Amino acid sequence: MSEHTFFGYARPDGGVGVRNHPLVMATCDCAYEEAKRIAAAIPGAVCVGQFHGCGADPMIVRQLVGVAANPNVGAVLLVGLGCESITAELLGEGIRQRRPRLPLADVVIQRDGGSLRAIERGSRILRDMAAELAPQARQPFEIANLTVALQCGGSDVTSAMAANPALGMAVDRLVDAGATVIFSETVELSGTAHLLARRAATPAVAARIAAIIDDEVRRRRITGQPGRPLPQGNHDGGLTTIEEKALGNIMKSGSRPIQDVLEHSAQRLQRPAGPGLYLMDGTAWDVPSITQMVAVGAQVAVFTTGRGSTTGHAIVPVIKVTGNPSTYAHMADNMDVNAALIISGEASIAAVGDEIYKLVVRVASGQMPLAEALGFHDFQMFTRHPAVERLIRPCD
Amino acid sequence: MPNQPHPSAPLAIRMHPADNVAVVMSALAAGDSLRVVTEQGDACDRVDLATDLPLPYHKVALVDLPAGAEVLKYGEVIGRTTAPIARGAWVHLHNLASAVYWADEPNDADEAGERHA
Repeated sequence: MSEHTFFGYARPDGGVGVRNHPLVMATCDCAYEEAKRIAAAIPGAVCVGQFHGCGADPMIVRQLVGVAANPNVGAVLLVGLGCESITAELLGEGIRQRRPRLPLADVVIQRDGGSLRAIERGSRILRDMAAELAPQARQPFEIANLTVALQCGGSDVTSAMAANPALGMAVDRLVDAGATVIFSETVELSGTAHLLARRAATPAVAARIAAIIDDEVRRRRITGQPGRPLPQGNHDGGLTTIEEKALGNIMKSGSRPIQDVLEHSAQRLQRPAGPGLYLMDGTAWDVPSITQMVAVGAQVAVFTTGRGSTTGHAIVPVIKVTGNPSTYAHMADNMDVNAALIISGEASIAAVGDEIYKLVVRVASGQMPLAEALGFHDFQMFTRHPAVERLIRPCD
Repeated sequence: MPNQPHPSAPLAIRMHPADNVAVVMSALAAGDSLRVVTEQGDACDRVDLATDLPLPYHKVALVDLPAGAEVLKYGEVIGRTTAPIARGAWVHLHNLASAVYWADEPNDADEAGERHA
């Protein structure tokens, strides 16, 4: 096996899965308890829900469809209550358009006779789905079939000195091998538009990068959010201002051209149009940020953390990289890559970048990073308030 | 170099030649003598600490900075000083604020100062 090959699941309707999840998706929070019971009945099943009400918020609907259509998903059971506007039917139509051959079924609690009957019916359906997925075999694929999400969380100054520069080198190699890579966290680009503009594929992309950063400032001013958008752990770890954090954050995106800004709005959830590096206009909160990138096709996430984040994700394996020597020493159970060796002078940035690249390939082939081995199925969704969007863009 | 500190002296890293702050690699006390090196590890300065630096990876000023001055790290502006900062002093929330967010509002300086005092 070459270092440019991984073993994944062929999806006849497009893409390659690095996992083969039977997914139970609650369409609204009212169906989440039943959805969890159904998933718990079948080993290996993954359950997700959303907690933004039952109205058909277009940002949530597109995101749920994108998550269910992610190539890591091998089968989907939708669980609805019955009186919600985000119905199993609505989501099912969207999923069918994206993945016409994906095994897909639904359980609706009001239609199917209450909780216990819905759980029984759902468990039988999911059992059969899991049984069908089990014999499917991994096949070799080129790295060009991978989309990798980048995230940082619980950042400190070691993220900028070690973990993010090392990840940036891995990202350059992934892009050069034809992969797609997505970074996000718009608020954490503050003060770096001039640097990112130099890497924009076109002047229009450069203008768009500046615009999303400006919009985020206006969004925060309009909503009266604190002027110091950094959590305390960032401050304790030596990060004083958002610009300082952002300069470290963008190091993880490497040096290759930024092909486009991916929009996630009420109008649109934009997927990468081809290979290369993309910037998603997304939230900086770790778990929903990864969900946004999953919803546009990411199959693996690499997550740098100085302070020590432990989160995984329901749909994608999450590789944890720390640059902080004491975090690695205290939390080795949660850290897949020890970039702190850069701080202690025991490894070069290039060597750790090489380790990250190779681990991405192995994880794509099935190796479990620690958060996945611990069974951490973190899942949150992201949306924006329509009134705030009207205020920052009154002319749209 | 005018004054070469002992090779085992505590270390600070200046991330870019244009920077007016450096990153300390350990918690330090006022009076400690710091060896400042470039990212490549070459000695470039020596600073006696004017204040405590209670946490690793925090910033020390390499020059005297008046209030309102741009603070440079990685060769880029990371904010403006909200008070004069002496060479050798801790640079953090009590004397540095973002130039992007709420630059017109006072920073809650005492909060950080008290916590780390």
